[in-house]
Amino acid sequence: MMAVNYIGSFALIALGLYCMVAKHNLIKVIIGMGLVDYGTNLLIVSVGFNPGGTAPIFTIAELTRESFFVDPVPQALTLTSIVIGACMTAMSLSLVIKLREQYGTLDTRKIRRLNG
Amino acid sequence: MKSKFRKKNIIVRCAADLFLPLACTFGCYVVLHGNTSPGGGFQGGVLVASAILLVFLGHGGTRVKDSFSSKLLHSSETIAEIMYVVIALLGIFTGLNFCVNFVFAGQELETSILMNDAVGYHVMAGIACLLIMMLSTLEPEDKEQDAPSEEKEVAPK
Amino acid sequence: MNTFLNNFPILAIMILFVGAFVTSLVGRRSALARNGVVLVSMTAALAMMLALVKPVLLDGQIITYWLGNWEPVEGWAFGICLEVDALSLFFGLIVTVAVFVSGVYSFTYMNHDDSLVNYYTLFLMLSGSVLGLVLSGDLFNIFVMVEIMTFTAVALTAFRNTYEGALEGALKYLVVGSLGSTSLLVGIAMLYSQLHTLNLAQISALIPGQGANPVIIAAFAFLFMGFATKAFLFPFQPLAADAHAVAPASISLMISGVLTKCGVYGIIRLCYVLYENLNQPLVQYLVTGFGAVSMFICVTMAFNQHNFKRLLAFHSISQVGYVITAVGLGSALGVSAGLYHAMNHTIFKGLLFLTAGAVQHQTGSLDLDSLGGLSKRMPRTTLLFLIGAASISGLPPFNGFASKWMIYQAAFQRGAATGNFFFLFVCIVALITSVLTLASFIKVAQSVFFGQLPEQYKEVKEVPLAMRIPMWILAVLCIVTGLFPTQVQNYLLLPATSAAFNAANYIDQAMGLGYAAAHGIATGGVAGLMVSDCWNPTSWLMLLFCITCAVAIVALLASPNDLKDAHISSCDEQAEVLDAKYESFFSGEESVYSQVGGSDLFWGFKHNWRKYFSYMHDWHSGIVNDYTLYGVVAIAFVLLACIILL
Repeated sequence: MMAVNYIGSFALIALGLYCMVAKHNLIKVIIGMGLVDYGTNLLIVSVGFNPGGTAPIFTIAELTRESFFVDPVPQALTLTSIVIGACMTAMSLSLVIKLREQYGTLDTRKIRRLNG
Repeated sequence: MKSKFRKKNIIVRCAADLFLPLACTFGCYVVLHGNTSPGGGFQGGVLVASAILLVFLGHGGTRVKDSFSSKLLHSSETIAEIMYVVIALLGIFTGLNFCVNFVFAGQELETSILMNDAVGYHVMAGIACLLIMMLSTLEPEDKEQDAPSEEKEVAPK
Repeated sequence: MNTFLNNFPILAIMILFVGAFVTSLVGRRSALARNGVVLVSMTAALAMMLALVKPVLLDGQIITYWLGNWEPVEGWAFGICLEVDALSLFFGLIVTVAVFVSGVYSFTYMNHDDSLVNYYTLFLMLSGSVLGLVLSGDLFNIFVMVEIMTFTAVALTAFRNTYEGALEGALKYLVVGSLGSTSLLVGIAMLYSQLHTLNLAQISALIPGQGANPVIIAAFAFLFMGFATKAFLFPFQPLAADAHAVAPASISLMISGVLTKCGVYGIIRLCYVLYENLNQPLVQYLVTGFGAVSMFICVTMAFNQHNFKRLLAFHSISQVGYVITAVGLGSALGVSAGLYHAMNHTIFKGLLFLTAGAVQHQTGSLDLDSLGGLSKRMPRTTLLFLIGAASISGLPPFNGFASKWMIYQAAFQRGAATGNFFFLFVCIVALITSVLTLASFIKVAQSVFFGQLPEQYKEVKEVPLAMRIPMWILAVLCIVTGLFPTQVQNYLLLPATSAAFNAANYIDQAMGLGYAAAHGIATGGVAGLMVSDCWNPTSWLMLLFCITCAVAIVALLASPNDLKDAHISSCDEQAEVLDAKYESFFSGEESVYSQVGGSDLFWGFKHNWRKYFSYMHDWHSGIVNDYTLYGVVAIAFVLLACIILL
């Protein structure tokens, strides 16, 4: 059951990397970055999953040794990572808007004034 | 163009007016209950900030510009950040560690709820700033080309 | 020990972040208040780091600070902690000093730009995140700090967004840098899936119990590549070059002096504390190999550059290659040599970037082909540049000499001890790189500061005092750390090195005494460094002997007849002159014909190696897809190598 998650997450990461390597449109490159991010997030959430566990919401009084819940730490990590991913997308898109104004193109093969 | 848009979309406008307080209230609820329930500062803050989108859909970009001051939002973002750090620092001043729960130690209420509020405030201001900036980039296109932009085309349907 | 000193690490981080927020609040009203806030927060962070020197570096204590008093329960650390040992503090000191110098420099340097509030806000956030990274004791916090660092660095790179290429460099940095962040995050997720903890100390204690778990080893590969991206090691060096060339000089100092140090810190922490049982030949080959390759490729890339700061950027990565090479040797001497060179790299590279910034500030140009003769107009800057250039090339008595000497010694010692030719080979590569560095800086000095003064720069003035003071601070540090290597070794390098080799103490301080022993980790540590003093007269005699031999060999190799023929026939046969022009050591035209530009000083060398240079030029294509591809291939290579061979 969990294998599906892992395969899915690595497939997403691989797809994203393919996008970043093979696509020459900057927007597609950024979509690739996003895909890599989502794959990673899926991986982290899957890591913390316990089959049959409940949601990890307790007060101190309710918490006993028998309580069985999914690991809350990866969920917190995923949240942070989602926020970071959103920031990354926003930042790169804003750079792309400015680049488009300056270079007049979105083709990575033409945006190479810094080389050699 | 703007008036045409408004006349056509009385349903959108009414729905926006209806959901605006609901979105705000729900967002505030999520922020305030962040420490005992799913959600928290970030999600609640985004919900509150989405009110700007409702205003934009219902009343157009000029209304957004009139109603919200992005300068004020910017400084409130900063104030929220400082608020968070100051609450966290209170732990040190009482001889304990950074970020410690000291106000109502041992009870259900903790300093973490105050920090949560600070985060919610911060995210609300930050996302609102972002949204206003993004919406303002849509504006000049409207004036230059008379054709309605995509978002407005979708709305009447 | 629950003294107030314990709070200093978190306060130092927080004061930088609070400074950033306050700057953005009050800075819009008055420039004076803005600069005041920046200065106060930088100084306070520096003072707090200095206050920690005595307990941590000299007395050998480790400060463990649990945020919100969430201490470990039943041997499981679920809180976030800051753990400051000598290694962290060593890097913390480097960071705060570099931040202070860079901040003071930018007060004057940035005065031509507007929206400076954003600049200082981002600058302080960058500083805070870097400090948070090196002081953190929690793996996920390290990731978050790396992300903040990357975002702020990207934003600052693009700060002068009207400058040609600024946005392009920033975007490349962001896209390819995200590869490193993802690699880091995947590594963290893998470690967490096996060990269920994020605390560095606990991870370090639990890894030996896992045996040859492939997931743990894959996590090592991912984490290593994540940090390698942040240190701009071999396949990632184009990013550094692009970002440096377009960023303001004060930010170039931060990127080369501080951001790469984070990668170095991460690699040391990873190889020596987290995976301290993994200290196997393969890891040593891997790390040393990466270092040696980046060291050599970057220094040759620097030969072809026509932009002052882009050239410096390649040298910067070349020097980081030295550090990584030394760190990968796996011996105490290697690590301390690496740390010494890391410190010196921040100092001399910072100095060089600041002089480049001074040239840019006064002339508005960084083009090596159009500059020239500035020593007549800017004598003090020239002096400072020469100090930095001598340091980076490893000339005595500056600091680069002392640390490079230690690196050669460490590599040679390691090769002699293991009988392995790889380490000897690395030692030779390091020597050649050092020679090429010197050659390259002769070129820079020739084309920027000496030679003819172009017409348009006749009116150039010396930089203001406020910009010279930070440069002088670094120049004095260059000389002081070069003249007293023994003191530096005793008070800075030895504690940091023994902290790197004493994972058991690190674990015990965080998780409670006896935790390391319970997981079978023996107490390590370094008693003393077996360093042969570089000021030893015998060494100098040996050096003299070697130089004499080298000169003799070169003189014998080139048969004198050829040389004479070339001279005589130069009047008659043009063809033979052309041949003689490209000879490796005796090339050159008659002085009457010599019109070689300063930036083209080594055209003979470049001509003989033209295939290599043109290949490398094509390799740095400037297309972001290609750079991503190199990164992906490198990550895949390291992953496969680690899984198959470990």
